[in-house]
Amino acid sequence: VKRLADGLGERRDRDVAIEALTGFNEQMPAPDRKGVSSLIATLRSEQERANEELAPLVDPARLAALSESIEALVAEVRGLE
Amino acid sequence: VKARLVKKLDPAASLGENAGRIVKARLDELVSFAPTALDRGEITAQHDMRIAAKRLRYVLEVTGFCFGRPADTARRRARDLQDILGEMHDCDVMLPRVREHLEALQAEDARAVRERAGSTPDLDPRLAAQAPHRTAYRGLDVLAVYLRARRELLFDRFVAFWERQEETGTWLRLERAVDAHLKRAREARRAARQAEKARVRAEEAERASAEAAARAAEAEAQRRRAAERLPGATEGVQPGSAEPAATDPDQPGT
Repeated sequence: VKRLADGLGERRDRDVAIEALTGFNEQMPAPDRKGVSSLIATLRSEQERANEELAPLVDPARLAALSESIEALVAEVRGLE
Repeated sequence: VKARLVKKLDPAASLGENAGRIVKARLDELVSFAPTALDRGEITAQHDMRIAAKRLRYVLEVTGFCFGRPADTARRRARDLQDILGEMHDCDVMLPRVREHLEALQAEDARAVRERAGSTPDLDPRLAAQAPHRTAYRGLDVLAVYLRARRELLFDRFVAFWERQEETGTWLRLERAVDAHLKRAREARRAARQAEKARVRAEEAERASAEAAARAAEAEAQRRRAAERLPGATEGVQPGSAEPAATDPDQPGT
């Protein structure tokens, strides 16, 4: 769960940064936008690489296995009660 | 920063009691960062405090109902604190990235300008004025200024927010609510232990009484058996008496 949360968190952080930079850039005069746009482009290409690394973590079979193991853990604890 | 170990957790204890111990540990953790984090330049302490606020918030989201309204207020304030410190953290992360990006563009431009200069003995400034990314610098500089100024503003908000929580006693009221819950749990446990002891004592007394009654019955049975062995003595046997009753001194065997 921690690995999944870390992976998704990192991905989300970059999404948030891209969104914030885009919003900032829209407020700037057109001649000043180029630098921030290039930074956004860099972040987007990082995002694509990060997506590839994230893909195995959100694989449906893996998520189903995780869900099953948590359910089994809960059932085991309930059995002890 | 690693979460502090929560001591005295007990699977046999109630949810509220265990949650109380976790909340106290997380609250202590949060408050412990305050003196350092309130120093403008202490970025690491501010980051650690954000994580501590997050941990407190999440444990209160799950178990806050055990501690009433103070927990609900503290959960909301922990979320607000997490948001402010999170935005400060975003600035702290983004600012070096902006500078790094600017540096990368300038390094690339320097290489390009140098290439254009060819084998001339010195560099013509007009070549630098045509650097490919020159129009990108300004936006990134403006962004860096924005991030620095925003961080300053957020820090001021953070300090004011923290002072406000101390004034209104948000954390103190949570601590008191948890302490009261833990005290009630301790008292309930003590009462349960005393009740259990009383039950055991009552059972022991009952058992002792039953054993005494059994012993008395056995003694009575033995006496009866002994009396029956004496010819003619049974008529005069009185219940509860070890000796045959002296009914008629003229009767043989008496």
